[in-house]
Parts: sequence; C-alpha cells; structure tokens
Amino acid sequence: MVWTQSLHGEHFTFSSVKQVLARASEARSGDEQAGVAAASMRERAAAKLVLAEITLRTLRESPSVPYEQDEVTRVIEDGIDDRIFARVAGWSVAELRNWILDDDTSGEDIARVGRALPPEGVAGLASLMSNLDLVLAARKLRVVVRCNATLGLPGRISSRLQPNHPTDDVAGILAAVRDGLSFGNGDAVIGVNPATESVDNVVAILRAVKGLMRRYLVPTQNCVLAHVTLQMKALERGAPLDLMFQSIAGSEGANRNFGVTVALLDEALDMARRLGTAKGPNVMYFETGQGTALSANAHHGTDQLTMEARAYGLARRYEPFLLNSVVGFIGPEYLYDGKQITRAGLEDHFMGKLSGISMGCDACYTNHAVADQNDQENLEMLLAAAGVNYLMGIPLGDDLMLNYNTTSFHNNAALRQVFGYRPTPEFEAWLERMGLWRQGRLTSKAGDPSVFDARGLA
Amino acid sequence: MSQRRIPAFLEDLIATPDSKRLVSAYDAPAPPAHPTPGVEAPHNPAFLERLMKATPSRVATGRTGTRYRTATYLTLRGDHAIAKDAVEAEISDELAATLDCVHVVSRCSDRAHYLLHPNEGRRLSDESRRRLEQEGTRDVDVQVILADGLAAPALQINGPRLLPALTEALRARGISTGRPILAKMARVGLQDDIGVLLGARATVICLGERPGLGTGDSLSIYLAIGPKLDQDNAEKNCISNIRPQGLSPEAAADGAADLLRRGLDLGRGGLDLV
Repeated sequence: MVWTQSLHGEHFTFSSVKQVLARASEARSGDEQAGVAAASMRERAAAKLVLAEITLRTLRESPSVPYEQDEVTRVIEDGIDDRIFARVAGWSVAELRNWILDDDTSGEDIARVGRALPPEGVAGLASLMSNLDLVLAARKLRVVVRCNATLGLPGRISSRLQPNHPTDDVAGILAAVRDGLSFGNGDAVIGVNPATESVDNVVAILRAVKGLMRRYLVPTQNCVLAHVTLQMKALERGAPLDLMFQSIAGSEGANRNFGVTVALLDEALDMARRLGTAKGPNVMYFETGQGTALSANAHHGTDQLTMEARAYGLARRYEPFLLNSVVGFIGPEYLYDGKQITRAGLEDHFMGKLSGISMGCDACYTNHAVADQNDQENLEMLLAAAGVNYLMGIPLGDDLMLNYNTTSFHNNAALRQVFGYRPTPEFEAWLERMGLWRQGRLTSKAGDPSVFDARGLA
Repeated sequence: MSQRRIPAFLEDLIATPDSKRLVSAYDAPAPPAHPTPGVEAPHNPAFLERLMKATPSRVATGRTGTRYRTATYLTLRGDHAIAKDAVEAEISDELAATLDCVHVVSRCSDRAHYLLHPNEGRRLSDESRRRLEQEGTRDVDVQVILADGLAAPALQINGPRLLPALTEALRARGISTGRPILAKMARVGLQDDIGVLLGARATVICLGERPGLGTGDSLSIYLAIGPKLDQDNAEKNCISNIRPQGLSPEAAADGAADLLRRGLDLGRGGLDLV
C-alpha cells in the first residue's frame, strides 16, 4: 500500500506501514544511523498526518517482522484478546489518541484496551503525542503488582537499589545497600549487576543481600542481574532468589543476541515461581532499551520506538513485577542528547504502561552523550509527574561498575518530597519501625548507613 | 559540537615534551578514595568508617534536607567536567610531533560525527589509506596503533610511556613491529582495517575508554590476531585500566607482549589465550 500526503504544497510518499511509523517518529540518532528516519521536519510532519488516519486493524495486520519469521511477533499476535480488539479495530490512531486524552476516559478503560493493542499501534500512538500528552496519559494508568510487597499504588514512587561494586565484593555491595536503605531507597528491588558472570557469584550475592533483608526484616525483593541461565542454576543450588531478571528486546534475533528465547523465558518464570523465595505472583524483572535491536542488527528496518514497543508486547506475557528501559545507557549513536533521552524515557514509560506493564525507568546518561546532571534530574521529575512506578537508586548516581550516571538515593528522596509521594505501604511501615521515616518524610536519622550496624536499630 | 583541544589544565600536566612532568602525573599521590563522611553525628562512627572503606562508591555523603551538601555537589560537577572534557578533547599537535608515527584519521569528519556514527570510526579515510600504503610498514608481526578513542587525554597521559615500553617488550620477545600509527577519531575496529591493509599478522590498538565520573585518563589495549574486517570482539583480548591510578604502561606493555607472543604462536586470540 502507498500513501501520499501533501503538506504546504509539497507531496510526500510512503510505501509501507513500517516506513510511515519510522518517518513519523520524533528525531533520534539511532533511526538516522539506521537510515529509516524522516529526511526533514516536513517529511516527519507529513508522516504523522498519514499515521493519524491509519486504523488499528491495518497496524495489527502489518507487524514489523512477519509472524512466520519471528517468535516475538507470534507471542504478541497470539496474546491479543480479539473481543477487546474488535471494539477498537476500526479506530484510527488519531481517534485512539483523542479517546485516551479525553477526561471522560478512565485509566481502567485505557488499561483494558491497552492490553489488546499491537505494538505498532502503541508506538504509532506515542508518535502522535507531545511530551506533556505522554505524561498526562501515563498518569491516568496504574499498574499494580505484587511480589513480597505491592508496587504501583497511586501516590507512591519506589526505587531499585543498585549497589554495584567493581569486583562484586559482598561487603562493599552491602555498604551501598545500607546507604540506600537509610535514604528510603530499595522498595522496588535490591538489584545487583554482577561484574563477573558466574553461578558462584550469583549465589553469593543473592545470599548476602537476602541475609541483610532477613536480619532487618526489609519488605522488598532481591535480584542479581546475571544471564537468566545463571540465575536458574543458582536457584537449583538453593539460592534465595525473589526476582528473575533478563534483558530482552523486540525481535527474535535481538533476543538471540542476548542468549534467550521465549521457551527459555517460560522455563525461567516457571522455575522462579516454583523454587524462588518470593510470595509473587509477579516474579519477573526485565530491562529493555531503544536501539537494542539495531545494535544487534536485528531491527528488520524498523524504527527503534516500534522495536521497543514490541519488547513490551513480549514482556506482558510474563506479568513482570518490574520492567525498566535503560534509556540513556546505550549511548549517543542511538539517543544523542538530553532532549532525545528525555523524549525516549517518556515514550517508553507510557508505552510500557499502556501495554499493561509495571514500568520503571533507568533515567540515565553516559559521559559521551550530550547530557548532564540537569537533563537527568529533569527526566526524573517528568517521570515522577507521569506516575512512574520506580527509578534506580545509586550513591550520588555514580555507577562505578557500569560507568554511567543514573538516579541517586538523594534524588529519589527529593522526588518524594517534591511530589508528596511515599514508598510502598509495606516499606513505609518498615521505615517507620526503623525510625527513618515519620509522617510522610525522612527523619533526622535518615541518610546514615551506620544505623544498620551489628547492633541493629532501636 | 565545539571542537575543543585538550583542556588547559591537562596540557599543563602532560602536553610538554618534558617527560619529567609526565612522570609527575603518574607519581602524584592518589586522591583519598574516601573523603571525610558527610553524615552529621553518625549513629556508629567506627562502623560508618568501615562501610566507607568497603566500597569505592560514594556512600555516606550526608545530606542537607534531601539534597547533596554543597561540597558534594561541587565535587560531582568537577568530576563530570573531567569526563565531558575528555570526550571532546583531541590529540594535541605537540604529542603527535613527539611520537614517530604515521598519522591517520578515520572516516569521521569531527567529534560529533564520530560519536554519532561508530561504523565510520572503524574505517580509514581515503586519504589516510593512501598515506598508509606509502608510509606504513608491511607484513610485520604486530602493527602498533595509538588512538584517541573516547578520551584523548588517556593517550596524552599514558601514550608517551606506553609506546617505547610496548616496542621494547615486543622486540625482547622476537616480535617485529615496523612504524607505529597514530589514529584520530578511531574506534577499536579501526585496527581491523589497518591490519588487513598492511598485511600484519596481528594488531594492537591503544585508545581512551569511555570516561566514568572523575576519570578521563583510562587507556585500554585491544589485541587482534589474524586481522579481518569487523572481527568479533570475542576473538580479541583487552588490557584495560591503564592510568596513573591503575595499571602502569610498563606492566600493560609486558602483559600485552606476553599475550601477543602466545597468540602469534597459537594463531588465534580471544578466550583461548585467557
């Protein structure tokens, strides 16, 4: 099918849904690198006009990678509830946008439809929305999930405590855990990226973090972000594991690059539910990021926004407790500067929630991107306004192991203060018992990791 | 993006041909990994000190309200400045003049282009290709390449000591090298293009790593046996963290030469050498 669109007397032609989606997407370096971006602002505006009139039925019938070739497409297509989809199949993307932003449309209404939307529709919708649209629409949506604690309730914001250490020294990891807990961080998960990928290492870190959680009765989840097969082996060895982690992407080829398949993820979920220590039922943790498929050369000529939406389409099969895009980690060849990272962070958060996922965001940047601490804090504030379930939490935001900058313990505390948000109910009660939190704010004891000394707290 | 040279404060430290000043960059005492704790009236001061010693992460910095203390904030800004300036810096003419190298550049036209198009940093410009065909040494055992990578100051600081150390370490192991190459706007993969062009049996590229907060001086050496275009990183070996507060250039040179000797004997690199 071919679409022609005139704009101010100039004619633009688009030869496929894939091309319309790519040209309509807001500017970003990854799409330019891939050669799929609009050549001008005029072409981008024209593509948005075309996209606005395309129906959701057409988008569903135009998967970015053919059904026969790609198991991610099959998971998504087979998972769509036809009765719900039938209600919106004839809507254009413009009509969907108008309906979502209408004050009379509730978050529950949107969530019901969202779970039946194809990722091409989700990404197309995001491309017709401004940053404020993305914040407002996401704010309507709540995705509440349960593991050991309850995440995603209104008026609350949580954090993943990320106590990475350059050599996985357990005492060093626990020092950063204590620091984070003393700032009220860590209610989404205490999740460690290991410097060395080995089963021994995964077991040792899981045990150490769980040991501290048990000693102080911390109502949260532990996780080690190693490859899923190593965590499965750790579980078989009896390691205490609450959340099962894996990086995923929007095509079968990109997932192969990560060393995972749908069958393997199915097995991992099953094992986490059977052998894991969490109450559940939500026991999976995924990370994604725009540009991942392109960097694996498995994007099939698709723009990175659409590929990201497809990753969420895959993730919802597993009803994850956590999913965050690691939005600024991938580098300037995919998201060039603070403006592109901010836009992508807001898109990812909205698209994930619309897909029915408990969304967090690793609002972050590398030192070779054109971004700084102010861009970082701006995105954190925008995500908090949008009702993000969690952000990362690191001492001063400086990850010495992964060499990038993300949300700090302080910033998570400040966002709660600015927005009047609180931790998960279980964690809030625990902080009060520890004397670190009273009447919705940190006490004078907070920010002192030595309160978690061998003597324990009063 | 502006095209900045090495920041003045680093030039002071390193860009003079006077190697004594260069050595002083290495001999300077390391800053304390753990400044005084910012926590006011800690519950357990001795335990707090133990926690700070247990990790290089910036724990126990205290707070004012929920924000960083002023000193903490300004330290962060300074550390970020080092990293950002390192990314934008270029190899100085003084350094280029000091080292006896063939000068080449990748297909990137400036730093912004370099950041946006990694693939262009993995191939020589047409002009550099011609120059190398005329001035480069063919069919050596190991072609040595010095490059800016993502932090030119890393080469400025470590390069003048690394190059003679590496040349000597290779010579001592009976490995021929030929004339070294200095490459601007280079990614690791540029070694593949150069290695194939000159018919080298192996290449090493020594280049600046993506800076972390407070570090713009970390150099890595990538070793590739049997050059081919876009060789997989899994087939290569890397020695990283060459910097005044990390591995010395001499130790790195010895380590690289050992790996290369074994790699050349074995006919391949990567995991088989580890």
